[in-house]
Amino acid sequence: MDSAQQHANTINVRVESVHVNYGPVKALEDVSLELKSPGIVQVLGPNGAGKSTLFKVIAGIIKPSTGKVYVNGVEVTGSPEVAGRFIAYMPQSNEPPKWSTLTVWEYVETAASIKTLKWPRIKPSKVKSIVENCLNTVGLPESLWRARLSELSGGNYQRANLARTLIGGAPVILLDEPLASVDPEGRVSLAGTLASLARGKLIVVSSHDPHPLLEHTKLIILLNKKLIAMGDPDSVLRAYTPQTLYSYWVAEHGH
Amino acid sequence: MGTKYVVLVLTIASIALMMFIPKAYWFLSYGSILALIGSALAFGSVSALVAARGLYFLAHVTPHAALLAIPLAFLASLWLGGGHGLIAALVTVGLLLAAGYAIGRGVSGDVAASLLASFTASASAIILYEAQRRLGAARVSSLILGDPLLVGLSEGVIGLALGLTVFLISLSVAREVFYIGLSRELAAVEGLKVEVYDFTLYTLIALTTVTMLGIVGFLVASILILLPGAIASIFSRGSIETLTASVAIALAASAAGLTGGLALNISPSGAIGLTLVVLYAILKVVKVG
Repeated sequence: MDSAQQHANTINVRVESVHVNYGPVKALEDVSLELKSPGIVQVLGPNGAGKSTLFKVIAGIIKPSTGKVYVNGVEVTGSPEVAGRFIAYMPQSNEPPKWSTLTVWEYVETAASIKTLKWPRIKPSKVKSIVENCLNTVGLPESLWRARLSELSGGNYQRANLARTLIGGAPVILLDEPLASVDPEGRVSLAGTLASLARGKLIVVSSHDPHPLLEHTKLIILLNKKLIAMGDPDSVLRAYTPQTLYSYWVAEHGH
Repeated sequence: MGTKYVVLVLTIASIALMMFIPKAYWFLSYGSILALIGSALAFGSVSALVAARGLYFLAHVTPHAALLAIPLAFLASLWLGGGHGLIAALVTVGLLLAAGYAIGRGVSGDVAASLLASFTASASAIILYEAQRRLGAARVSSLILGDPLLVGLSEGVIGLALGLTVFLISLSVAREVFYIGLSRELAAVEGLKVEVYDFTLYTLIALTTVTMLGIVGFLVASILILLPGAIASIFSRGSIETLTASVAIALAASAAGLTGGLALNISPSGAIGLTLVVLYAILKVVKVG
């Protein structure tokens, strides 16, 4: 069991007064929140609300203009290497890349090699069991392991991405719109997979639609550049319907 | 498994065919054959990496940089003395790394390549004019058209050694380069030193082009650095299979182009390029159909 896994039951992510600007455009304004494992947290908001930016700030990829991010008291602000000890991040990716010849197996195996072997990484057989575990955990059929990523359906591509994210056993997983471009049947199945993973981890999911994961969600965050609301699903969704949230966004942006 | 057999058979058949050609054509040396094999190894390898990273436009522009660097190095060696090879290599690598640095800092790959193309094409026009006056039109023409038939045995051995070196380096970084091709940002977050792989790739593209330009010429170098990888990407699975298939395709095109060029009495370089274009078109039609 690595050090990251030992923290699995006590992980705590704290975002303090984060502001992010893209030139003159404000992406996040004074966002503060605290998340604790285990369980699923959903971050909801319209396009441009700053969901992806918030994830990148937590993963250390974007350094905020002001504000700090801590994981279990360790500052990870703007430092993906430090954040990577606790956090795995799956960016938004709606469809498989058509140009790439990488297979599902090589995709996950390369991620495992990067995390577990030193260059020139000439013995990828060492990571075979890790790769098999991750692919089995996300429920990707073995018949697809040798398929090119470009040959996968949207749902199975997200499963391959999720398998890659699980490499290293990080206790916090950030999933940026993992159910986008997945068919309804695939959403139900993928939601079940995420729910079983959330028993021992903190899984933060961004979405436009909370329903596929609603019954497994312990906390909902409404974001629209600022933190609009945060709380258990019942209270938040009763107070803020999608219509009120989107009308707030329209009022802010004028279109 | 099927692709691996095809690659193996294609490679052996292509090399055997090329080694047989000097027996049929007295004026053709083994140096030319070795240089063409080296060129196929280098271009085939780099082409697969270019396809994986989607750097087609930048790769296409690289022969422009080499076409500026080589006559510039010739002129510099006339004025300053010494060999021109190192100067040409340094200038080409420097130009590619500058474009690569810009891309790494967030400039769009297309914009960086466009700027590189604009600068090198303009500067080449000035330098080639001067080189033609001082070195003669034949030397400038061979840079543009390429002439594998003029390569001597020692140059051929050097070409083969360079090709093998590029192939082995490409093989050692292929998995990571293909992985970075999916998402550079994500690969960096996961702990991969993406700058090191970028540096290696840009250097390989530049060195392959500048060293092989005299063999295949400016016009066909643009095709060889793009099409073998693009063709292999149509049917291959995985980084290593794509890279070896790309090399086999470059070898087969070189063998077919040389044989066809000699038989039809047309430029072998042009015949190599046309072979690749036809192969790409056929496979695309078959795949889509």
